[in-house]
Amino acid sequence: MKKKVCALLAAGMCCAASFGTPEFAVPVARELPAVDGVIGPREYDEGVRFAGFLRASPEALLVPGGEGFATFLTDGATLYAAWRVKARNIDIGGGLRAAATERDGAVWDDDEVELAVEGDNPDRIAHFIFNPVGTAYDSLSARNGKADVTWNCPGLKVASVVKQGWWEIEAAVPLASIGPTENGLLVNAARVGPGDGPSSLNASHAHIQGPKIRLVWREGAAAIQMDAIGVPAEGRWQPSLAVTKAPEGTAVRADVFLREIVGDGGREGPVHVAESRVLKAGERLGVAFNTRSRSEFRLEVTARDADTGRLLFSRELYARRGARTEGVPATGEFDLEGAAEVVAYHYPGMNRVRFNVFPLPETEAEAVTCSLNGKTAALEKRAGYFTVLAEAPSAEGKHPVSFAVTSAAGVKTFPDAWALEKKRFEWEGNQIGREKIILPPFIPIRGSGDTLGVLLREYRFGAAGLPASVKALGRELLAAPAYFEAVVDGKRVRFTGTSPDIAVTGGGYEASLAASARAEGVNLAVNGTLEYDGFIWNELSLSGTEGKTLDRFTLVVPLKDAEAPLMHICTADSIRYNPTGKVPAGEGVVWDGTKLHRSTGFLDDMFAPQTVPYVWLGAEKRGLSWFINNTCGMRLDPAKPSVRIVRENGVLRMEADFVNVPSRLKNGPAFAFGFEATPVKTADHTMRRHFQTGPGHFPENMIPRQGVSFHAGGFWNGWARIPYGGDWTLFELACRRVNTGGVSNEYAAAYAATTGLYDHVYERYASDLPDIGKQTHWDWIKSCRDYAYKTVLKNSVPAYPFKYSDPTLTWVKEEAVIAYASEWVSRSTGYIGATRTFPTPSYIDYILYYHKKETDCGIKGIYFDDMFPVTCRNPDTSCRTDGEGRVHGNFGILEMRELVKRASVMQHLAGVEPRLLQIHMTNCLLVPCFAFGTSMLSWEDHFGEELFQKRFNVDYVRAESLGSQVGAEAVALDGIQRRAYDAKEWRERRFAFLTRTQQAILLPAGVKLWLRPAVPFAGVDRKELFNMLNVLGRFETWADDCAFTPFYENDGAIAGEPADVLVGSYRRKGKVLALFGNQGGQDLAFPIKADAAKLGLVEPLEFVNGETGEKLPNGVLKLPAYDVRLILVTGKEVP
Amino acid sequence: MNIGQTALMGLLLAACAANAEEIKFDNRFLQDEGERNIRGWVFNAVEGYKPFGDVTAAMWKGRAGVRLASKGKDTTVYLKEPISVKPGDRLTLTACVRGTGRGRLGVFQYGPNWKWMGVQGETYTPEAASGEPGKIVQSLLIPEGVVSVRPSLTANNGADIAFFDLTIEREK
Repeated sequence: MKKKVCALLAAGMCCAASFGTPEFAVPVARELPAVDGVIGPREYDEGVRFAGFLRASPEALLVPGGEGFATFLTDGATLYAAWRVKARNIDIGGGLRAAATERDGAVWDDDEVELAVEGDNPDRIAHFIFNPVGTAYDSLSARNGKADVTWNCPGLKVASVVKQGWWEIEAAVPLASIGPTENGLLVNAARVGPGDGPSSLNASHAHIQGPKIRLVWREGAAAIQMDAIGVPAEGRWQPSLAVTKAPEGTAVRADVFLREIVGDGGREGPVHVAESRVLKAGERLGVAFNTRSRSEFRLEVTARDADTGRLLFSRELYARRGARTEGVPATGEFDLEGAAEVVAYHYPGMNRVRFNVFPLPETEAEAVTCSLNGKTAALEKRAGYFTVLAEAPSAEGKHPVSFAVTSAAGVKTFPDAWALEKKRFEWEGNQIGREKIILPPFIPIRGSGDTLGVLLREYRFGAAGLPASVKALGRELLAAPAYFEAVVDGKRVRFTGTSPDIAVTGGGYEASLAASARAEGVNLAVNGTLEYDGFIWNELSLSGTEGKTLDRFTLVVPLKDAEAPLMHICTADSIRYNPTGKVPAGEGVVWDGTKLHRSTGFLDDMFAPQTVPYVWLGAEKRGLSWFINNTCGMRLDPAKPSVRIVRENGVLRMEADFVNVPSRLKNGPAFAFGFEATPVKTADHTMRRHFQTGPGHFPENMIPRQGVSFHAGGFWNGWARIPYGGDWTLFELACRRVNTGGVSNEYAAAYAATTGLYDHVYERYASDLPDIGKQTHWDWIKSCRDYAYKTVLKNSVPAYPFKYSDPTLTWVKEEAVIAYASEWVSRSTGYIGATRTFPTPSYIDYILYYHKKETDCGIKGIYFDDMFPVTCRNPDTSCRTDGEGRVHGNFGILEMRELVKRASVMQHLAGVEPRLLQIHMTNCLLVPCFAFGTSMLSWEDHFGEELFQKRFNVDYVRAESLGSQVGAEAVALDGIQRRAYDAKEWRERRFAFLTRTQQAILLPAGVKLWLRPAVPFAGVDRKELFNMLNVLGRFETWADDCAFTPFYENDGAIAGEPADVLVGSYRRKGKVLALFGNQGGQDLAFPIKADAAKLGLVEPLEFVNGETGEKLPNGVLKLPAYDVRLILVTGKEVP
Repeated sequence: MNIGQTALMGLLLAACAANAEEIKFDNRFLQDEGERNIRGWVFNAVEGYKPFGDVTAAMWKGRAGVRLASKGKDTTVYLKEPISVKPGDRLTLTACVRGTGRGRLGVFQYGPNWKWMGVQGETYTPEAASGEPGKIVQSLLIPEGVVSVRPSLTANNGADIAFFDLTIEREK
């Protein structure tokens, strides 16, 4: 699932006056701050201040570069919150992103600070996000409820100033908007920025529902402020604690305690600072300690009433010199004592290791060399450091690395400064899924002249190897051949050339294309590959550009407007924003790339941020996708749209610029892009019989498709690839239980044995993790595991087992993940135990090896979660570096395709039938990536309590929820969740009705539903759902003689419906099941018109409500607003 | 030896320690969650000492301390993390105490691999039952075989004693 928000380790704050929720007393402020974005020197003297923001994952440490503080002050009527945090540079604007300018806009994609405030009413939790231009997002949430984003805090004031490398922001929150605050406030403050990731005062990412700090205000309380910690990530600790305001005679005992944590087990180490002082108002205790140690340190800062000993303030912070938060994790960090610091990144799958050497300023290093495995390499000098990507030994073992640093003072050598460890893993170098076979239902490529045919589609190639014709299901999609256009020295020209050389190889597995074209003295060479699923990848280069100015170089694809009413365009690094639905109306430019949502990560990763990774234009089946994997070679203006959709005279042109800034190029640039036409294949109709079920229930006659949870199979968590101790016995029995409905005793015994063997280890691990609601983490794990175990155990019929897999997340404690971290990990996530990975070749090998193991254990289906482009940032692995040294992030489209393709081949060769490869794409239907997938999972993007017709318009569904473009089963997530709706009304009517409104869209479209485990009255109403789906089950929609006609292909055989009604139908010999979904708000009554001849029925026809068994008088259907009806149509029986 | 004599001898020895270093350890005496739980210290929960006494953090005019109130048996806390020592080291433990009954300021001694090497430290009777605590000093010579020590504070059976401002110096 996407965007999991977990309650995370509350390591940063320890309790003050009471245990449990930390409590801090602040004076009732007499002088209130001006909310102007400037934190004056004494402006918050009556408030409490917390220095240091902690991230939770992968280690609960202070965020490097996260110097700064958050301050709270209140007069009992208004809460004033102020942040002073580091900007990213000292430029105007501080290098901070601040794109959102509208209230409740996408502020979370900017650099931002967050504030959560909860008063006495736990069902009124206010959540605020502010960006550097003071734009606010605010929402109100109930306990464990979804956020009501329509709520706007009355009287909220925000002001922000970014200056000289610092960002200061102040907010005033009227407490009346939160409700009563007799017991004070629960608050948390967070700082979220690219590069650092999310961090907060108490290391919780669950800002709304997670743990908070309690603020109480008391007359005469001392104001305690911790306003500095130094820069611990650089080994400089400078904590400071002050009493800024206190009544005459008040004395506070302040302690600063700093201890080093040593050893793998986190053993307590030496105490380096143990300073104390009794402070009066206006006094402070500050200490300084510098360290070169790379151990973790724990800082504890406390303040107590000097007379009573009552705890007034307490902070517990962890940090480590050199610790990083996001990005590529280092394999090792070490010192060349007195000369330099070194960061090493080992890429075992590539037999490479990068060393970045950062000389100490006093070293004045002129050159650095490193020696490894008998080879010495000189490091390249860059701004502030030296670097080399060296060859790493492939032999198993520890390999010493030595360095030599040359300065004016001579050469200083550091023999055996570090040891590079190479491990061997059983999965390395496997060839799983690499077999060059043509998967069914695909067929070999058919070649004829310049035309290549694949399943359901045909391409004819013209000049420059571009499609001159694309036929899908027998119809032409192009209005004219695609072409390249350029502006050379101010002259607009079109590239022309001859037909390409085409060769079909591998028995129709693939075809190669070689073409050239020319315009205004610029030559274009294209090498393309077509694979049997219709995927085309072109690599092209320009030459003859010397001495010329290339103002623009553009690919133009003219489509027939009538064949492309829909569009689906995908961004990277985020989901749920992808433009999906009807191509906007009008003539001229109807859409351009400036409208694409781009998150902070996308902008950071992209050398050319105006790029658009993926465009598809078409209809429910036919269409054409275009895509790139990176921006290498491109020269794009950061302010100009690089992709445009233009409608003119019945032609819909996609224009994609590769160059749109005037460029004088010494060497001709090289680019790469791909096409794939749709529909790719047809869905396997036998899968209509599968019903994906979490709790195990399923409709009549159907086959339950049941997930074998990691909990039920002995894995640490959903991201782990290996069960406890490498023992697959429990998992194999769980699979056998689901496959057969038998072996319950064996499974139960194995479960008891496994849990008995490993629970002490698991419990120890869980004991360091935060509580989940009212449960300890361990109790929560056990309750989830118990549910998963019982679900497997209660399954008593042969079912179809599948297993969850998230190819973009991995379990940080697996040995291979640790060894390959630099090669695989792209960024931290904040998920407990998981880190974000990129599918490099070795990572795909790793995943597939264990999927094969699971398949050998009896798993049939694979469910791939989080399948959307998450950009790789590492130029040593999958990023591209262009000839001028610019790094281009990798969207991972080719890598996701490779993963899905290899997994599909593996499943096929294992005899999995029907083959389920489910892609959780949410709203990111990437045709080239998922062409081999057999199930597309959508609809996670609009959960809520609103009518489904108001959440998902029909055009949205047509463009991305049908699965028809990739020829896959379509499955939607349930998504019914109460937010503000009256609870009684919800239980009695709304919940069931929403289930019907959902099916009013899904049934006529042929989209299925995943029944997931859910708390009562959330997800979907099972009774209501099964009433409907039992009708499908009894009809046996999966039968060989059953054809489905979705609403968008309605041939008029079932008609009579008013506008706003979608009609789909399952048609068998002698009977038809017609599905009517009302998309509008009017109750309707209309006679069904059925064409008996078209339906193969014999008059007179009879119409029966499939759910109730009642006949429709005179064939008149009464269809309430937004509702759905399943009508059985039968004719006179023919002997 | 009474407490006055101990203090006098300790002061003399301390004065002789021309080159002493202060040992940093957790002498904040912060109350943590749970009974008898002082951060960085361990309550000596030996079965034979039941009924257990009370252990609570204490404060007197900004001096952090711990109060040990016996319920009939010895009540002891000792530092969780051991302090590394060498035979021949001289440790000077200083604290301010007040209360009733007898107490002990000393160290638990360990050889390699946590081999128990006995307790060192004198018992004494605080000069003050309330108000200003009196200062006591213990000077301890580390014997052969000892590699680490844990400072320990004890209220003997029936005693109710608070220790404040505990410091340790090592003579170099």
